[in-house]
Amino acid sequence: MNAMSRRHPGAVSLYVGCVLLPVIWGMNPVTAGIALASGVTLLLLLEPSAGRKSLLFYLPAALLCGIVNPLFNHHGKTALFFLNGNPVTREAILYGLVMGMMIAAVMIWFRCFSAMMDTDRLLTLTALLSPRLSVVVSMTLRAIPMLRRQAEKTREAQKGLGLIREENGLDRVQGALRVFDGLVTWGLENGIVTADSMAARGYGSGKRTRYRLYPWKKADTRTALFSLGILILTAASALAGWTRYIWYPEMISPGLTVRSAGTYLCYAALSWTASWIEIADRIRWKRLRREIPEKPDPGRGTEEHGWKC
Amino acid sequence: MEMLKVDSLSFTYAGEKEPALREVSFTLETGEFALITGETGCGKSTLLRLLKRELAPRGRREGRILIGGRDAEELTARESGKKIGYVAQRPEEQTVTDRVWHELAFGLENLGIPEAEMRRRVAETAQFFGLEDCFDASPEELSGGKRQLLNLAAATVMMPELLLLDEPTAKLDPIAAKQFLAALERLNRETGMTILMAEHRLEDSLSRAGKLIVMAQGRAVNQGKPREVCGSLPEGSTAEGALPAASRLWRAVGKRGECPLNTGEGRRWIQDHYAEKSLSGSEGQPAGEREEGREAAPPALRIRDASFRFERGGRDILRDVCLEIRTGEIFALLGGNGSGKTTLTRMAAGLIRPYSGEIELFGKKLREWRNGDLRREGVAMLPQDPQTLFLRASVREELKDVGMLREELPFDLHALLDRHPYDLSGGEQQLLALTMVLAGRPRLLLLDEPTGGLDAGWRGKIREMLRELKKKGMSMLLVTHDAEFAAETADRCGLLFRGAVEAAGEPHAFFRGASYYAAPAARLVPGCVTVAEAAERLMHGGKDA
Repeated sequence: MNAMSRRHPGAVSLYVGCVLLPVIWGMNPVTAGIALASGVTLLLLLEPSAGRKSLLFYLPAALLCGIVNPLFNHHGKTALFFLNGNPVTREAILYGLVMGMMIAAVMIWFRCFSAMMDTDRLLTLTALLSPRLSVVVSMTLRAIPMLRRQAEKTREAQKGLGLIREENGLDRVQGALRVFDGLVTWGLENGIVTADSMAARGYGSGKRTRYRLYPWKKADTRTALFSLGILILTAASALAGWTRYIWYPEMISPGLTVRSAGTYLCYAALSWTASWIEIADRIRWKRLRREIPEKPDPGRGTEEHGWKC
Repeated sequence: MEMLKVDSLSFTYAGEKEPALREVSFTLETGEFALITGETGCGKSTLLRLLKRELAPRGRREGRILIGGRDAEELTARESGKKIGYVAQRPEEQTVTDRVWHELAFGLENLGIPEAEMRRRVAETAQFFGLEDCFDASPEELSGGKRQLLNLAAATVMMPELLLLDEPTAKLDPIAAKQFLAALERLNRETGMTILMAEHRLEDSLSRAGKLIVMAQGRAVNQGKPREVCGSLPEGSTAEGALPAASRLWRAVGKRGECPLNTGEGRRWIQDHYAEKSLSGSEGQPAGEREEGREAAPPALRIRDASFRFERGGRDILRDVCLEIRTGEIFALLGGNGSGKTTLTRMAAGLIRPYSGEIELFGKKLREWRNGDLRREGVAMLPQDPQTLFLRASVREELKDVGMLREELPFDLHALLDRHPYDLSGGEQQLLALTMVLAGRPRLLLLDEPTGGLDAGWRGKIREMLRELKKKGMSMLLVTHDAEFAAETADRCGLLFRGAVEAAGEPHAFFRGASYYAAPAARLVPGCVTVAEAAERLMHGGKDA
């Protein structure tokens, strides 16, 4: 359980979306770098050991992009050397590296996203789309393990009868078809019981309401507004050309102006928000723990002991 | 006030000539707990479904149903959903969603209850039924008993005024069934909910009920206070088998005094009316090991020190099990849920392998049997759920599949040949499954819970069939939690606990020592295992009051 997973799933998704959108649409090395660095911070906070291992995969993968891109992409004006008669350009290498950073950042952020959301929380998002859809999704998720269990039971019963032999591949296929056949009948027959149970509880009797497992809190509104605000600011700044990079034929950087630096700072603030929330939460816990007396009163313990004797 | 009034209700299914219900009349007061009993097909389910508008079958209906003074037809879908709760037999298939919390909220969501109200009711209900621990769990992870409790909770979260239950405990083991009934009784007592439950075994429920309605062939033949109905049921009627052992015993020995409705009352009643010596008695016949003489034949099944677990690091499901089934005997293995009963039958059938230990069938190691021979003349298993055997559209095709010819049918299935296996009653399904399993001419039959959900009439029929098979030389391992059935049917009984067979012996010897897992008759009169035996003892060993 991490601090962000106490936020509403919608707010978490919105936040991650706002961090990643500028990275994906921007092709901006600074933004990509910030996203990558903040993603690494967050991943190491959320999953210290598993995260470290997966970084060993993501980071070299990013570097690899920097190597592979110029092999296939010969745009750009500054040829460094020729390989098989094709120019390897400085621009292509830089572009590849930024692209690699972007991909690594997106992958790492998705890892973080799944650490902040479990299946249940992810499914609440379907309910945001439509209350009916959430019932259908929920029923499907229930049906899968049920059918699997029934299939296993049927297979065994048929095997016990000697109607399924599993001695060679053909037998197996025939057996599987037999089980599937029975499963369809079983599913249809028992679907009636489920349908009755739904009708008995008033399904389809009118407008539905929704039981929300994760209520939307004030903190969620704050996170959402903050995320959206910075997304708009970053987008506006990109549209105005303050942070626009041109890659080919020659790399032109907008340079570090007050406007671009301001944009990057705001974006960095957003990117590290999740890490900050996590750290603040841990500090709070440490402080709370210090206020709890370390050991129970020794006097009481002996008293109890004496009473027992 | 009258909660429910059924006034000469008759019903004929669309396309049928014979009515399923004939002029049924009864009333339920608010807060009453009533039971309907009767053999399979007597119209219990039809009646319950007619009371719930959404589930009413199609057909011709006469007579009136008044719910809280209003005609059931007039209720809107919302009102009916809110006022009348319904719980059916199968625990798994009734669950709609994939989370416990969602299941509880489902009905309220459908009725459009505002969220604040919904949260309160879900919270209250989850606490009432003890479902807080598994609130976020998937219903799939719950045991059958807990799952049925969830279904009950999901039906009552809407605070219905009338709760209808159609054989809710038929698929549960006895301990889970008792817990379910206790929850139901609490619900009735603490919230005043009116409850109407159809059941064909009244052992644990009758003493909790205020009214008993007995149905036969679509008619309500007898109704009133449980004690009165017990007294006035005609001798030999099919509903008699549904009554608790104590009540049956009371009827069998001449209805002296007031009718006892459960084992506790039964013991008090015996103490009041019969001499002490009949209770302690001769400690049963020292029946001993009668068939010691036939040592020569190898045992049908010998399991030696077999252990089994599902994963290498997991816990042992079976632990050093030793079990011997002699040729031509019926061995009943009792035990609660999760004691490894089903795993043991699967192992004996060669479907799973123990990681240590030895299994022999008719003196030959299980491993040495060729698969074909094993299935053809060795061992056959009747699975717990007969529906796992049925894959075809008619009984005729199923029988053709297993190669059972019409002339060889061990039981009379002719009337059923053209029906769909799923349309058969529970007992008929069990009969068909047994026939299919016997097609391979096995010499050892493994039966997993063959009486689950069957009424007294069918249990009697299955018992006769097993005895018939035994006469022909079949050996049987009967796995069950129906202690009464085991006592009446088996030559020897054993108790499986935490993966090992703890006690094995002839039923009298076995049940003499048992205190909780005992046939009800053995608790009433020690040393007896059936009601008939207990009656015999009371008649001849007791004094006149």
